Amino acid sequence: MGAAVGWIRQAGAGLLTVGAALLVSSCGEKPLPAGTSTERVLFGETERIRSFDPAKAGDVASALAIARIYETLYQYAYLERPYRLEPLLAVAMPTVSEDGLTYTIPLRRGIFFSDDPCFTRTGGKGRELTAEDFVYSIKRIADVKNESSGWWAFQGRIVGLDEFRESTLGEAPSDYDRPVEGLRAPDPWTLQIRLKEPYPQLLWILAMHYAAAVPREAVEYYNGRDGRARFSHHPVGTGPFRLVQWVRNYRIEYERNPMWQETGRVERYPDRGEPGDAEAGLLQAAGRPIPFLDRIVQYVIGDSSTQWLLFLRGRLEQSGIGRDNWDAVIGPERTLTPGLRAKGVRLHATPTLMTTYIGFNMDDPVVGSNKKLRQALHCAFDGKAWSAFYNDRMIPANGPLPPGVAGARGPDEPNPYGFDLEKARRLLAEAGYPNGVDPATGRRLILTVELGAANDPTTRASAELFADFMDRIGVRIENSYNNWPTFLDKMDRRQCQMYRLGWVADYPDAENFLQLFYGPNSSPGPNHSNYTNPEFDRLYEQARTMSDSPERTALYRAMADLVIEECPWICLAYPLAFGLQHGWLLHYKPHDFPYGMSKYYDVDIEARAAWQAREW
Amino acid sequence: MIPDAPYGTLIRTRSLWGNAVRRLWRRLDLRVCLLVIALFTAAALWGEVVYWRYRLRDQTPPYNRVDMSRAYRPPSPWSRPFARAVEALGPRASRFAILRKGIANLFEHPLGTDNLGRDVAQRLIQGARIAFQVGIITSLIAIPIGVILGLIAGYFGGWVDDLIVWIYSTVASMPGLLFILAIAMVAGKGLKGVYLGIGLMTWTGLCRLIRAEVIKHRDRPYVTAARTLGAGPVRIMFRHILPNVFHLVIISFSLRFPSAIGTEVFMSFLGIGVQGEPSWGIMISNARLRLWHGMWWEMTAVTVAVFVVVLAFNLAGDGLRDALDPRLRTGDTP
Amino acid sequence: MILYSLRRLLQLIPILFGVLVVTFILFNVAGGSPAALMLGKNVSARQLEEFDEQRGFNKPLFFGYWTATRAYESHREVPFPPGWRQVEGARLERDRLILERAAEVPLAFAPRAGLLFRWTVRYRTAGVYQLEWSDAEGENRLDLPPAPRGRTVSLLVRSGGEGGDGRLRFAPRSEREPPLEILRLTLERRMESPWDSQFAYFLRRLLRLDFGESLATGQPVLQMMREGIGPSLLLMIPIFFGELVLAITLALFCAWFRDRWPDRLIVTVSVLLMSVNYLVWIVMGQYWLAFRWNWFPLWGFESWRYLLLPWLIGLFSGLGGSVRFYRTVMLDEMYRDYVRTAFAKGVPLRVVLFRHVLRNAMIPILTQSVMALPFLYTGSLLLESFFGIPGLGYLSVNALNSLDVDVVRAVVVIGTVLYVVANLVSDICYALVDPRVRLK
Repeated sequence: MGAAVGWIRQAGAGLLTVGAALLVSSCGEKPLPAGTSTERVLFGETERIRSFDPAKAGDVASALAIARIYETLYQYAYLERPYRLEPLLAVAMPTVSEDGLTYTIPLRRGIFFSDDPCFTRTGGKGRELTAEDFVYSIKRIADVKNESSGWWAFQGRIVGLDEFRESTLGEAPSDYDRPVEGLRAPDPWTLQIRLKEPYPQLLWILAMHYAAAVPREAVEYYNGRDGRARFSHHPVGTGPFRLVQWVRNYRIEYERNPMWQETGRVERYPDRGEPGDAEAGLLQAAGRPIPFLDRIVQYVIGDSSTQWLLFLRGRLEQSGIGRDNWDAVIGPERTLTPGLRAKGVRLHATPTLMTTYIGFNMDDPVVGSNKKLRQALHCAFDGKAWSAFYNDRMIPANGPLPPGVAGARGPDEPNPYGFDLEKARRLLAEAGYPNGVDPATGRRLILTVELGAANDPTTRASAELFADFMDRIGVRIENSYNNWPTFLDKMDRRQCQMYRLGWVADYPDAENFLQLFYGPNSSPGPNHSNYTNPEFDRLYEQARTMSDSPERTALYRAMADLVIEECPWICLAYPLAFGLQHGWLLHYKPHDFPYGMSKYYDVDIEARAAWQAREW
Repeated sequence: MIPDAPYGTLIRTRSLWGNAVRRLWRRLDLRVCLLVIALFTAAALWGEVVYWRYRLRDQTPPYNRVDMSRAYRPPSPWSRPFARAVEALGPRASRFAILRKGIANLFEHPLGTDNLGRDVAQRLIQGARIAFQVGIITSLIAIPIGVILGLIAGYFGGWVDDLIVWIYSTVASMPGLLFILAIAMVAGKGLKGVYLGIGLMTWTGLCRLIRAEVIKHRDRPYVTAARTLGAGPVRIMFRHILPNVFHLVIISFSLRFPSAIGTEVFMSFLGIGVQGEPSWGIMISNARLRLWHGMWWEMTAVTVAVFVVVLAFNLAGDGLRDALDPRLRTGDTP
Repeated sequence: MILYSLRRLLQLIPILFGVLVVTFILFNVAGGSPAALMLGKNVSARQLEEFDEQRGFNKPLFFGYWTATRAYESHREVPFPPGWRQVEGARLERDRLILERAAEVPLAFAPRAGLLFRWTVRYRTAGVYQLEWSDAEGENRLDLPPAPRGRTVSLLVRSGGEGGDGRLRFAPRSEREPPLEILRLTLERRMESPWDSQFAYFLRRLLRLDFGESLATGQPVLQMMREGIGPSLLLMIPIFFGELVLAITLALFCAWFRDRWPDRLIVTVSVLLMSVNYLVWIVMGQYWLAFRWNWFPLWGFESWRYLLLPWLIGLFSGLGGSVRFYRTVMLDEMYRDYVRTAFAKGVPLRVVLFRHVLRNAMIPILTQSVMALPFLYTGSLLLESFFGIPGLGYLSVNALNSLDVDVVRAVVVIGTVLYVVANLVSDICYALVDPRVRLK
């Protein structure tokens, strides 16, 4: 090996000069702009961004990107737990009418959109934000032509909005001047929303990127000119950053929005947190003006191995931890190995509002009609071993609702169909498959689990582990690996027998999970199990217009219990979010809805430079 | 053949094939290559036996059995087999027992285990099975297409020829790897996609060669003679001309094998190839994730295996080409 | 000469057409409609249909009057859409549906007004049933006579108007009819023109040089390719020329020392290099050279330094094969008669090699290189995706993974056009140099 290495070294050095010479002679290359040495630049990693259009983006990465540029009426208080909303572009929380149907929201003055050529009337200067912008933005979600992924949040809720949607069907351009009765701006600084029925989740919705303020000029300027939709890559917002460069599939760069300084807008770092935040240094910057970062550069790195190497090299501020790196990174007590901790790397492990599950297709003739079979499989699933496989990065699930939302089971309330092999075998026999053998054919029962995005080895290994669990009671599982589009398509066409999926909450309310079992939401809606139960539907319809109260929690609980009994899902686990941060990333606190939070982050440039010079 | 042999002497003429085999066997390096190929084939067949044995019994085969207590074991020779034997048996054990235990330890995991405690050596053999299958099945798709179309085009000429030339020019003009990937995506994940992708995109070279060769043979006296004797075109093509151009098939087979293996590795790595079974590409992608904290053995084992097999095929292919068709050689000895 | 060039040019047209057909079949069969992917996790069948309508995915593939609709979908795998489960009196079995009383066919949504639909029913029953529907023409009714051995009926329905949306109802003539078994029930939409197909749509757009928009990023494909071609060429051109120069130099070196140990050594090393898997080059290069020794940046495309490692790897992985190829070319020339004559005349090896052999070998070298040029444009799929170089190769791999049909198709089509043109150029060059070719 020694000789070979020496040879490669020499060859490498030689070719280095050859390459440089070739470059000089063949092509003059302009390096892409990167930060200068004194700038505070955050280097991060992101999934691929689909669109910067708040109406279109439906994935987390795009939502994060959008929230850097656009702002909503309300935002989550950064440091406080449980989650609480606070006004962002609004002056205060809304005044709600007696019947819960009319929301009146006062807006902040002196908020300006960043400069952009689309503001032709002001010669490119950004104009002030008004309530009409919100009216317009919500109408955009309803416009069929926008193919918005956020329509579910408003469908059937606001008076007149569904009629507006009807009017946008067909070839003619949508008429945004058509008034919507329930969506009005009585004066430029007041937004009024009228609902058809009480919708207590509306506030959470107003904090999502779908309800971000979009200037009409920008949409018309960029989408109008040649029939191409260019608005999705020309974001014009009021937020702390603005887009500098977006190379799809590779790199996104933001810089501090100069408009804030020009117009004298000052936002401050919060001075309230939960206990422990002060000790963790999260309140050091309390009251200082944000954002701290001058520039954010994010790369799209598909490959987890490359990502990890880049983190170790100090080229990325944060990293997830692959299962395969786990034992080398995390010690037995779920703490960081001393080596990395001594170097200043920090570990955050927090519960997330997410449930992973394997759903049964209730339309399937084998699993759909056989409740005992589903229960048997649920009993055969060894949640502890599953979590152990994921290095305890998950909490074994005891129901469809993760801890932290109302109606969830406590850790001391086990699922009645929790891991119990004896019970599983008994139920399996009662289901008509003693020892997993189908008496009709004499062969073992074979079930197929569909998986999407199964490129990474961890997913595959875990799928094999699940097959192994079921193997113990004699049921054979065949895993079918799909790419994501095929997987979605199969689910929409109800061709999956079983499928593996997770649900991440859109907002911290159990209703968001329970809608996954609501009959009318069946595929291609989000109820991919196509579970229908009139009793459940009745409870759901009753609960969804109620605002937070013990009665509603009781209803949620009843619905969850119903689902547990009927087993349309094998609830796998509630994942914990584990992330590593280098010591030079300051004021970082994990959040389930981290949209727009990068304005609070800061970096220590010297510490980073020191790390990058290290030898490995 | 031998002009001045005395009349009546039994002349032992050697056919092209016999000659080729003799020439191949004379060279030591080629003998080694053939041995490697034989070993590879044996491993693949053994892998097949293991696979089907557990498949038919509905059991999880040992190479897929997860045992976390054995995870991350380095290859046995690196894990102090004899010292561990002493530890296990105690200092009073007889030398013979220690020796036996030590040797057993030595062969427990000769190439170590991976992150799930699965034996690397067994997975390597399964990888050989997949690689072999890919080589054979893609050839079974591509070679018949190439041979039949080549024969037909060359023999009939005219518009048939034009049509076939059009087909293969079309296929040959498409960006190969991209199309293989696209076909595999269409066919769905799994080996089927790999077979179809590689098989359907790689027959053009052979087709072109055969066509050119058949055009040369078409008007040779032996073909004319056969035609005069009333043989139909199918018979002439397959009975008379094909044997004379068959060496092209053999050469093409030996050369496409290593590239098919390479493509399969690449595709499995991208997650398009085989599912649920260990293939070399999957092993490389697994091993890469763990290189940084010192698990070098899986990577080394796969790398060396792929290298040795491909090298053997490359050398053997060259040798075969030199022996069968000197005109085609990129020869090592002119 | 001009005639020859023209003839070759004409031959390109069928090839291009063939490629278009093949790509279309491949991608439109493969991708199908990307609606589900685009619209995210909370969608309805109606939204999917609207999406398809906007992008032409609900047309027939090549030709035909009839096309499917998401309002009522039936496939081989799921012959009866699951909406039937909510219908009272309907019993779903594996391959048939049994109706015991009157039932309305469940539609996922009411179709847009003014469209013409065709229902096809294959049924089996001993009783007498009626089909009822209301459409633009008002209330309609059709008797289904008893058919114990099965019978197929189809009927045309125009949606919309005041009449209704064309929903279909099965009703028994009396209370006591034996059950109705439905073996097959399909709904198709009629196109205005049979030529209004996805293929025609595709060709029309290609003629306007409109490659569509990426489904994943919403960018025009042409613009994505313009952005991608720069990095790809930056990556591939140095590799290409570096390899060419290095390989020819080594091949000349081999020819100089032919059959002596330096030649043998180079040939052996080439074969060894050829046998190393491409993936291994990349993985090892990235791990050792970039990560462990920190000589090169690990990943990205921020400045020219980021290209050094991919260049190096590209150069080495291809070198073995090229050296062997050019060596063969050189040696083939070395054994020509004119070379032998030159040697016999006492021309020194150096002169023979550089004046005679290299010059004559230039023809195959040139044609080989011209043919290789179009492949430069797709870049290297692997190198680009490993090292994060945002070129066309990386674009293609990403597009393949997300079934971004338009992008892959554009890359393939343009790649093919370039290849075919390069082929033409190389043929014409060859014909210029070697007049024998023209006469064939």
